[in-house]
Amino acid sequence: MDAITNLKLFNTSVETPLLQASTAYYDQLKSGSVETFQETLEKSIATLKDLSTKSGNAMEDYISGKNVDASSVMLTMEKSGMATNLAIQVRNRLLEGYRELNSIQV
Amino acid sequence: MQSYDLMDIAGSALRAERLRMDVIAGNIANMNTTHAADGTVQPYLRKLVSFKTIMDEQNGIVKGIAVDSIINDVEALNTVYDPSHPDADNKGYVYYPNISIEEEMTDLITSKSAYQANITTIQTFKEMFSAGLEI
Repeated sequence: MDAITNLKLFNTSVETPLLQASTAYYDQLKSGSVETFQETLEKSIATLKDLSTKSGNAMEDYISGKNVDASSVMLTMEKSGMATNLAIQVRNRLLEGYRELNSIQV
Repeated sequence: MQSYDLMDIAGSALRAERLRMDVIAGNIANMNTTHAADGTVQPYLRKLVSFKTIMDEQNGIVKGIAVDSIINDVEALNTVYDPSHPDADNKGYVYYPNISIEEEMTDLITSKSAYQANITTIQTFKEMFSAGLEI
C-alpha cells in the first residue's frame, strides 16, 4: 500500500467520526438540551462575582471588628483568588482559540 | 460549590480546633479558680470539647466538622489541706479544679498539630489547583 492510500484511509478513519460527533453536538445545541458555551461562561462569571463579593464582605467584616476568624477570611479570599485565576486562564484559552481562527488562511 | 468543598471542610476543622484551643486556654487560666462566676465557692470544672461530623446525607460525603458540645470533666477535684485559705471548708480543706498542666499542654499540642495538618491540606489543594491551571 502506498503512502497516499494510507493517508486517505487515515483521513476517513479520523474525519468521519469527528464529523458525526460535531453534527450530533450541533443538533443537541439547536434543540437546547446542551448548555451552550456562552451559558457556561455566564454561569462561571456569576460564580466568580459571587465569590469576590463574599471575599470583599469577609474582609470588611474582619476590618470593622466583627466576630469572624482570620482563617475563614483567608479561605474566602483564597477561594476568590483561585476562581479569578481560573477565569483568567479560561479567557486566555478563549483568545488563543479566537486568534487561531483569525489566522486561518481562506 | 463543589470544587471548593475541600476548603470548606478544612476550614470547619480550623474553626473547631480554634474553639478547642480556646477551651484549653480557659482550663489553663482557671487552674486555681475556686469561685464560680456568681461568686459562690465552687471550683472550676475542667471543660472538654467533643466534635461531630457534618455529613452530606445525599451522597454520604463528609462536609466538615463542628463542635458538638462542651462538657464538664467529672474527675475528682484536687483536695488540698490549707486552713488559712478563705475558701477552705470547716475541716480546713480547699477544693481546687481537676486540671493538670501536663494534660492541658498535651491537648494543646495535639490541637496545634491538627490545625497545621488542616492548613497543609488547604495548601496542597491550592498547589493542585494551580498545577491544574497550567494544563
